[in-house]
Amino acid sequence: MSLSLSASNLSKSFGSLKVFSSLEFSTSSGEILIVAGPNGSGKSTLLKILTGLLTSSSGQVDYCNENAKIPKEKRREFLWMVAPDLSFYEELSAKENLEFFLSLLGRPANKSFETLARVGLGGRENDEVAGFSLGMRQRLKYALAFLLEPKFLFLDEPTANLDESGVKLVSELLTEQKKRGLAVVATNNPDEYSWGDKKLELGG
Amino acid sequence: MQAMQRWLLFFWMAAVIVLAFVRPAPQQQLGDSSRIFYFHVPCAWVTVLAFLMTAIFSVRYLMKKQVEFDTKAALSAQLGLVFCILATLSGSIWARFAWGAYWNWDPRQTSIFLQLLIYLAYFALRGSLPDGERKATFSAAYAILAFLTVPFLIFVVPRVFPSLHPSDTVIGQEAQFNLGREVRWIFFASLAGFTLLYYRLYRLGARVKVAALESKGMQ
Amino acid sequence: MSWAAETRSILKKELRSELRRRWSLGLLALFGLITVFVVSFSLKTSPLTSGILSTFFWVIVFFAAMAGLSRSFLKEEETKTVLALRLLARPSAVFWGKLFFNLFLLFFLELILVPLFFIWLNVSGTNLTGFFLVLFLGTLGLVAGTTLTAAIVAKSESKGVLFAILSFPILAPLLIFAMAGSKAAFAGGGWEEIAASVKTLISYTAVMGAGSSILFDFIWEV
Repeated sequence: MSLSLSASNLSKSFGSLKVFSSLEFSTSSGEILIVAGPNGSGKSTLLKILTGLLTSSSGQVDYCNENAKIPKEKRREFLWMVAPDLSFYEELSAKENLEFFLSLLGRPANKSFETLARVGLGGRENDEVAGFSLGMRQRLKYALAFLLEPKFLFLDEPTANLDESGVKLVSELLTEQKKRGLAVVATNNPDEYSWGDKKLELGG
Repeated sequence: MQAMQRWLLFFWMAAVIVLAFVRPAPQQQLGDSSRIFYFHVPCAWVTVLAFLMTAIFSVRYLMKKQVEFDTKAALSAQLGLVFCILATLSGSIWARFAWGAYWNWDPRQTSIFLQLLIYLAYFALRGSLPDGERKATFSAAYAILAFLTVPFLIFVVPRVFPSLHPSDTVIGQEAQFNLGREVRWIFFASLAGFTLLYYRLYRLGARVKVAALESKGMQ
Repeated sequence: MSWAAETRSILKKELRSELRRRWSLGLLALFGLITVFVVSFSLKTSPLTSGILSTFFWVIVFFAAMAGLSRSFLKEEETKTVLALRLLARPSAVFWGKLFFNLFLLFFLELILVPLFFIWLNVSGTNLTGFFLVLFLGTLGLVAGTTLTAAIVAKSESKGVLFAILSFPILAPLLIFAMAGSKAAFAGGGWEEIAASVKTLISYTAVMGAGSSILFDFIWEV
């Protein structure tokens, strides 16, 4: 398994506000890249560009699998991101949300029950997400991460709204992730820097 | 060279205008009011031509994502809007003389008015978005989608519904409008003149805007 | 992992969400009810020609569409669920899933509108097959022509008005022929009278549907 994610000459500006420019980096299977930097340095923006939610002002992002580039349309089969502004459907239950997103990739949902239990949402499968706290919503995003088993995982502020057991969950996820692919983690939290093998500093 | 083109066009259009008024009116029954024909039809033609160019530039923008194409699409639409207003107004005035009322809901009248709405909607959309890729992409998509309805307006509606407009085949041989050879010549000269006018205005505008883009890029 | 299965999945999700909260269903039902009521109440004794009937009918459907069809995309943007959807969904599945959902909404409106319209306005002598054929095709054309615009408007400012401004010029050919076809049907006309409208509606739907679905990919990823 040789996967890689690389960015070349990446830059992004919003109008006249330059967020970052000429970014170059790459990371490959078994690695976790930490993206660090103060608030406003563009960590979330970078992750959104890497996952395709935003377009860069210039530069290129390449996903490679066995030295073959993965075209943009196919990337959805290999990635997932856990980020603060990502949301689930409030009027659907936890289980329905998971089943829906899994079905978009043709994945079976038979493990959703046990995965929900694993992330600490056992017993809440049939409750509407509307009633979930921020911490629970975060856990639900991780449930989907466990179920999707993405080759490319992106985490933005991974432990936001999580207690100790939640933090442990993230750590487990990343350990599993190293075996199946790679991860990019954007964080402000120095404790989390140790999770990574490489570090990219933004801002300054 | 530019100056010579400008004067050439000026004299060409001047000649067209003079001939349009000096030579016998195109249609005897309507008399002098039929002279509008020389101006109204070319305006309508340029309206559609301009929108076609907008659609083409829009396609090119979506393919290449180069800002220049979006700028040119919008520019062509601006010109098209002006010609569309002229076509609608001139058509309306002519309708007053030929058909008795300023507005008759004749299919072609409706079509040109809808084209006007399309242009206005295009600019409403552009106005509601901040500059950037989204604005350009959305404008392009809308322009292309709107252009897909134009064949229906131009070809289908007049064929299916009874029209007050004289047989649309100005190019055809036995047009009901009974175009004599001379009339035909003046008309085509006018058509060419208006098209060149559009083209010239477009080139001028394009030069200015591309230069503006480049200077922004250099900053 | 097929396009059809994914489209079905998105459609199911839309229906499920809608049935749980019933935002649009309630709005459309009320819209249909009120508009037919107002029209029939004020015109109850006047004889209505087929032209007037078809005009009222399609004006009601058009404005109901303007009120109800943009919500699907708008909601995704407002609640930020669009992000997860953009990460994992195939764009064309999103387009067609939401298009069919909008179709469902309009069929629901018509389910309420048509009986009330026929009963309260005392409509008789209609070629019913012809009417329903034109209605079906016209509705199909309506969603084919508005889904892309709804997606565009969801990501712009001044959403409500902009949807109508953008949609109307594009829907004009559809409305013209839907009204013409319905008029002929209300007058009891046969196939010859509605054929031209039917054929145009079919080609309009095909052209706009195909064009929209291609253009949607560009809209969705920005």
